Amino acid sequence: MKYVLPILLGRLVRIIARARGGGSAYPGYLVLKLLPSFLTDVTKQFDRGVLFVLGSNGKSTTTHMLSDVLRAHGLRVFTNPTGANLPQGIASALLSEVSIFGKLQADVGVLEVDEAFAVELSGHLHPSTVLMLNVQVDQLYRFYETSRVADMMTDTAATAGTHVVTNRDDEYLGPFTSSTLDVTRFGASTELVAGAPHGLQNASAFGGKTEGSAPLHAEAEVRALSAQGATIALSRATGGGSSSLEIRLPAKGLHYAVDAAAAIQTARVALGSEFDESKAVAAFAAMKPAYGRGERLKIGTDEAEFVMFKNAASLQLNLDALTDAPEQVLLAIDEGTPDISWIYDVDFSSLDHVDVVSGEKAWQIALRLEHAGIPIGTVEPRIEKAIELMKALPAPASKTKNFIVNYEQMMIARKMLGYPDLEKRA
Amino acid sequence: MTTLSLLQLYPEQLGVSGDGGNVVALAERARRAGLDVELVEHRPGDSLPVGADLVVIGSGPLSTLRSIHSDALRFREALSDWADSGVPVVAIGGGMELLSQGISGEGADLEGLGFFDASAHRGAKRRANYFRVETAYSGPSLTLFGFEDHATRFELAAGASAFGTVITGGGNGDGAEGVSRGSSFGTQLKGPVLPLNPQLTDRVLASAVSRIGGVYDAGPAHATLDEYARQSRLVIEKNLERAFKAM
Ligand SMILES: [Zn+2]
Repeated sequence: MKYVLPILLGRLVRIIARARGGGSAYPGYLVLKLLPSFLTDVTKQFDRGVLFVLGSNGKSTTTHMLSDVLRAHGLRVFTNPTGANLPQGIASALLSEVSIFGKLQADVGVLEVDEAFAVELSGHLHPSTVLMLNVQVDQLYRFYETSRVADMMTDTAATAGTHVVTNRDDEYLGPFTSSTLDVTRFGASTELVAGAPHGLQNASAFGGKTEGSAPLHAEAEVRALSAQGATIALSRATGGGSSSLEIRLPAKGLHYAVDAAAAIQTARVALGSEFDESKAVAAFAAMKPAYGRGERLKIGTDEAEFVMFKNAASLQLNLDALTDAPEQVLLAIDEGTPDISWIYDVDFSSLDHVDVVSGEKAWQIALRLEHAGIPIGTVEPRIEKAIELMKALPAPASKTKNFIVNYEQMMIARKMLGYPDLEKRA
Repeated sequence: MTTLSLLQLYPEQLGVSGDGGNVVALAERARRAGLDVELVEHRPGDSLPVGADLVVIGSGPLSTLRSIHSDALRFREALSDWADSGVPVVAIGGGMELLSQGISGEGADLEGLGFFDASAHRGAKRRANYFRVETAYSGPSLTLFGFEDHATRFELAAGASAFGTVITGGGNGDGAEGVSRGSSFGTQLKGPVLPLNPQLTDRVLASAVSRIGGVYDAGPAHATLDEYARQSRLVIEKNLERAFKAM
């Protein structure tokens, strides 16, 4: 009975918050205040435990992929919505699904977790498996040192119950080992990484590299990219056979293929002998893009293709994934991304022009593009007006208008195109 | 045609927050003024360049300053000699700290190149905010805008001069900002500072170009850059009081 009151209160606050148009984490915050054991009590009902997804980039995409692969194996999955990866956000997400007695019908929790809160959350959620995606230069205003972010991830991995899945090609995360945990890896073949215009954008561990150590094995390795998908080779470090999966990808780009390899390898260790390759392939075949990652929405008689980025690495990877310079493109950043010095580290040469730059950072984007000699149609800081300008452009031959935006601008743009709040926001 | 040789030190290690933008701004404005620009990058292990007309060293966290430290010490004499002959050295954030007498505090114990007569103390209150500075570098007072992101108290030795005065932000911690030495300076201004503040960039270029007997003048080819920079600074000015949460 201890659950009823806090949960009802949390629900009430949630209803009020939503009625006021907010996707607020406050209900979760309130529940954690009233019932500090809420996270532990609810998630310990999951027979298959909790899986953590950590990384500078790709957390939402990979969480989405892993959840779908587990669902394809018949599991009921609880997962947190994009970006709700702080304790109060996860509590809010649980709150929206538990009964007033604190019961939640799910077999497994797949949670993307903010690096800075991961160790703390591990104390409450006891993840059986921790997946570490990558360490990229990100939010230096928040973390100061890239190596600090790496330490947060590896410290969390060390608290896993059974399995750790890590990125073979990441200088910080690849070498992770443990005498008590099962550690396996994912990656992309040397040829693929070498062929990518700016590689995989993982941070360099300057001076911290262990030279001369034996090459690490990736149990799930991306071997080839095609227009629609990727080839992922599955093997074991020692003994056992190997196989090769042809999967469809929900969005274009080597980084999405690597996320897929990470999700598949994590599903393999979490499911053990129950893992079924054909079910994994079927899950990818049916998968929709995660919110704003290659998602296509109608705009007049054409489609808007959304690409969301949050830092130099994700912007570069998405620009590199363009097959041709887009015919019509909007680039927008607002104050949700405070310091954008890093736009000077990004190579924009895959664009031959930008039609509209927008967001409060529009002039800074324009300044950067002018330094690179990339012509700009219009500088329009107000995103609402900018979208009108994009709508008003003549229909492109590709039928596609590209929107390259940060998270906050994407939310506004989606709403304007008539797709409000599709994502389940706790 | 005058050729300007522009040297960037440790582009990968000291280049994680747009430091390449300062190089791009210098090179692009110089080219638009009709100069030839030769870009030279120095990486750890490379042989020391014979000379340069302009030097840029960017910022990086302590771990990367450590990783290039021994290589950087090799520049101790050269940088000083070049600066004495009038070559501007532009040093940002961690690069400025490395060029000071040394970095201490918070487990940092890094001997500096002694290029600037100042010392850096880590462990000050972390700042991540927009930044407004006034400087009289190479001319009448200029207002500069950018971003500040560091936890350093920067202490100038008696007789050393600051690069500017803090109007909004933290700077050195005592109302002064950065350090200057002739036509060289160090600053915590990011954003990056040079594309955002073309008048400062023009003063740096004018110093460098006049030393090699050329003339630098910004003209109509610079107008779009200047207008975008002006608008960018207006937006920063409007948001000056915003602070960004650090962990
Ligand atoms: Zn166009």
